[in-house]
Amino acid sequence: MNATTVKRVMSWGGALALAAVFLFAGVPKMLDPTLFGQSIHRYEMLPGWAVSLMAIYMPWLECCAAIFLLVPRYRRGASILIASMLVLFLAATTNALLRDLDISCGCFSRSGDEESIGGIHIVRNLALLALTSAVFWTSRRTPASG
Amino acid sequence: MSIAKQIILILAAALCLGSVANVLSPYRIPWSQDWSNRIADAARAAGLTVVDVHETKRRADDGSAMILDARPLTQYGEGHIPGAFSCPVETLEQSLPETLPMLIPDLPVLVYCTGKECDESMTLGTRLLSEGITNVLIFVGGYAEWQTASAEAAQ
Repeated sequence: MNATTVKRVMSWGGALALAAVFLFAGVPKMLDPTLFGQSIHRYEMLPGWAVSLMAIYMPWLECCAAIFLLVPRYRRGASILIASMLVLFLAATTNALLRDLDISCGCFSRSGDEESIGGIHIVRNLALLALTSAVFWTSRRTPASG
Repeated sequence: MSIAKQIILILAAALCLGSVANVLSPYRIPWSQDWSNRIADAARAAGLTVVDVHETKRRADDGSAMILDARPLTQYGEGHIPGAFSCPVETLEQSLPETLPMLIPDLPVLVYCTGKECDESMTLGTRLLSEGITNVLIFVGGYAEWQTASAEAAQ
């Protein structure tokens, strides 16, 4: 297996994994923006209007980025958006942990019945960020990436 | 296509779909709202009377309301407002038929759940209204605020 094939396999494998994660995270929130808004509100970081806008648009951004990640010519742009979201989630989680907020992550479940945020969420975000970087760099020189 | 154009296209797609969904979807939410008072606002709009911890304590002390705990039975077992009966929303189809015969005509019913963010008291309160119970009070602060007030009073 030559280097180009390895890169292509890594690019597709990473893109499929990230797309699955972000679709799994986005669809339930899309179906109940009220409960997702409550999850965002519990972080106590944003004013009400910003919570509403995030509750409305963030699930769609997660799903759109996930779908465009599966189209090679849009993969690099989608990777940057997904990395930006992961950095945002990382900042929110770290901020909440530093303030000792006992809240659920709101990452995958819209009901807020997940376990409380902790170091595992930071590690998970960092791992996803590393995967996103790998997808970005391995898609860079593939012929289909445009 | 440049990366910037790819990003703009994806953002535009999310913006359009999100906007359309929030206009047409049955799950749409207000474009801006006060999330800290979401339950209280919704409760008032549904016809419930919102009461604070002092009113709840007075009614718990003098028995001037039937108090219902809408949380799961396990949480009720770990602690509840004195005199409250359990009516878990998670098993409402079973718990409500058991609770309705216990209600005394003309005695207000006061419902509560975990705290300001929980929905169970709202669900139970609106269900009681639909069952023809007219005087339903909701303690939005819930058991969390009750515990805080009790701890402060004990000091």
